Formats: sequence, structure tokens, C-alpha cells
Amino acid sequence: MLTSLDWLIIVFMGLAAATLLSVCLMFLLRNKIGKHICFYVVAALTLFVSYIALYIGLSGWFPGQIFFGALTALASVGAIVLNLISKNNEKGQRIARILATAALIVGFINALLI
Amino acid sequence: MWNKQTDKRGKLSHEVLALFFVCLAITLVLYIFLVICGTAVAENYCWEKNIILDDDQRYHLDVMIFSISLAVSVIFFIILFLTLFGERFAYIGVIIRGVEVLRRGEFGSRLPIEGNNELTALAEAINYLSETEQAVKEKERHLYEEKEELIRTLSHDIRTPLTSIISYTEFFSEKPSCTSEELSTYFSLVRQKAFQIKDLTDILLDGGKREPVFFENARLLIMQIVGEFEERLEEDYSVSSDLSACPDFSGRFDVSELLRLFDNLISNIKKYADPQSPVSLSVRKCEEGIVIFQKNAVKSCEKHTESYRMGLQSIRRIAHNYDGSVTIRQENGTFAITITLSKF
Repeated sequence: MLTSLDWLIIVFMGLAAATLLSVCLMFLLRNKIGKHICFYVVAALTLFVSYIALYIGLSGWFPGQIFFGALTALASVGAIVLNLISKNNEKGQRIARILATAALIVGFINALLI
Repeated sequence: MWNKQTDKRGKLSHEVLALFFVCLAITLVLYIFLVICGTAVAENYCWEKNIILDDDQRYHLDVMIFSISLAVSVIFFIILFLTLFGERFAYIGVIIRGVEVLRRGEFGSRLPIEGNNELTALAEAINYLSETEQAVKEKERHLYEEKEELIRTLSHDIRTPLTSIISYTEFFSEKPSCTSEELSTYFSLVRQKAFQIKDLTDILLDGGKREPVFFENARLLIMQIVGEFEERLEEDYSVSSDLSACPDFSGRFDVSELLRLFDNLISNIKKYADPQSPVSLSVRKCEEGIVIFQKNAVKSCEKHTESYRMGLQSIRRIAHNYDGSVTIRQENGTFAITITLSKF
């Protein structure tokens, strides 16, 4: 029977692996469709870790965690919008990818490592 | 050029090996990260919940963290490596599809060039072959069209002396009696036309081979041809020619070509020019070369036949042999043609 500690570790490791995998593929893949899929996975993961951070922050009233949770969620939405409006602009898409990655890393640290 | 490029290419095996080690390095980083952070998370959890682990529990926790980290890392490595490796090798599929397209004879399509390895070299080689094949096909088509045009124009040019022979022989058969002088003149004309046909058929058989001859004073040749031009038209038309702007000059000319050129002008005049209006011809020498200008009024309600264009096409072709050009203007019932012969 798995305890809550086991679940915490499994979820943490699964999330960490998924985060690194999607970020690596987003930057290393040459296929544009693959890059787009990875980008949306990264954005979705960012929203998820932001939700975790906000949930923990609001339940224990940790203003710093709430602030960073909201910030990473906004950054993720901003990256999605930027990616959508720069369909034929490679530079805009690159900025969107970097923004999403930064938001995911900050969100992950904020949600699970602080 | 293509061979030099292939020398600088990286090897696909090296690329795959590099990919493998990059994936392995990322996986190792992940593994270390998972172990360290997993332990930290577990300790933090235990500290917050006031749980004190004994040695046995700690051992089991460590084993669990290492095992899960390893399992996650292995899965991570497999997914990352296979995805990136598969993407590199998906290019083979693109090349195969491109080759299939080429096999269907669609030489216009090109394979996309990706990366810098043997597969890229292969795609470039296929593109190079495709381009070469397309160029050869294009050249073949061009040569075929040129040959077709030569046959068409020469066939048209053969018809002119042939019509003359038919006219002379008909005239002969209808005339009750002829003097020996008349007979001799007609025979000479028929013979001349027959030789003209022979020359044209020779050109046809030689594939349009030219035989230009050097003339010390080419003005004399032009004068002679213009004289013949006047002679052949003077019965039906009022012809005026002007060679005053044409001084003595030398050059290489193919006489049969010049004769054909004027034959076509005569033929067009006979078919389409208004006999009530004068026909003018001038030849002048300028910086661009020799400029032949001919003008006449067009018969009203005259329907132009296919041979009209053929004659002009033949003139254009002859002018092209001298690096020249042909300009035609037809307005207000007047036809004017300017033929420039530049290189001779």
C-alpha cells in the first residue's frame, strides 16, 4: 500500500520527468508540428503547477507562493497568446517557447521545491 | 560543386552517436535531480509531519527513491532518444516519397534539404539528377520545336518556287506556239526554280546547315536581289526601291537565305498587297547593320491565311541567323516590315 509520501515522490518525479522531456523535445525537435505540441504540453504543465502552487499557497496563506503561482499562470497564458499571434513569425514563437519554459521551471520550483 | 559539399558533411553515425550521448547526459542530470530532490521532498515531508524514520524505513525510502528515479529516467531516455532518432530517420521517408515522385516523371519537384549528413547528400544528389534530367528534357523539347519550325518554314519556302514552276508550265501548255527564245527563257526560269527547290530540300536534309560566302562588295549582291524583286513585281505593282543609304560594304551572306527572305516578301506582297498602291523597298546601312524596310498597302477584306504567318516566321528565322530582328507594323491599311541583319 502506497503512503501519501510515496505518492508525493511519484507525482514529483513524474512531473519533473514530464517537464524536462517536454522542454527538451520543444527545443530539440525539428518538426514544427512536434514543436507546437510540445509547446502546448509545456504551457499546460505550467498551468497545472501554477494551480498546485496556488492551491497550497491559498490553503496555508503563503503570499510568496500565491504571487509566483499567479505570475507563472499569467506567463503561461501570455506565452500561448504570443504563440498564437505570431504564426509566421519564428522570432515571436521562439520568445513564446522561452517564456513558457521559464514559467514552467519557476512554477515547478515554486510548487514543489519551496 | 555538389561533390565538394559532400566532403564537408558530417556522418549520420556520428550524429546518432551524438544524439545518444546528449540524451544520456540529459537523463543523467534528471536522475541526479530526481534522487536529490526526491530525498529532499521526503525529508521535508517527514519533518513537517514530525515523522522520525528508523534505519530500516530510511533504507526502504532510499531504495524506493532510487528505483523510481531510475525507472523514470529510463522511460525518459527511451522516449527522448526514440523521438529525436525517429525524427532524424523520418527524412528517409521524405526522400523515398521524393524518389517516387521523380519516378512518375514529375521532374519539377524538389526534395527539402534538411540537416548536414549522408541523407542530406543523398537528397541533394537526387535534386541534382532531377534538375539535370529536367534540363535535358527542356533542351530536347526546344530542339524538337526548332526542328519542327525549320521543317514548317522550309516547306513553306519550297512552295514558292514550286508555285512558280506550276505557273510557268501551265502557261506553257496553254500557249499555242512559242519561239525558241521564249522557250529558252522559260526553261531557264523553271530550271532556276527547280534548283532553288533542290537547295531548300538540301537545307532540310542537312538540318538547316548554312553556307555563308564572303562578299567583298555585298552591296552588289543586295542590288541584284533588289533588282530581281522589282522585276518580279513590276507587272502588277508600282515598285520603288531605294539603295541610296547603302554604301559599299563587305560581309558573309548565305545567298539562298537572302533569296528566300526576298521570296517571302514577294510572296506576301502578291497575296496581300493592294495593286493600286505603290510598294516601296529601301535598304540602308547603319550601325546596327543592314536594315531592309518594305512597305505596301493591304488589300481590303483580305482574309489572311496560315501561310501569311509562316512567311513572316521564315523571315524572322533568317534574320535571327544574322543576329538580327524583324519588326512588323500594320495600321490604317498599311503593312510595313523592318528587317535588321546585324552580324554578317
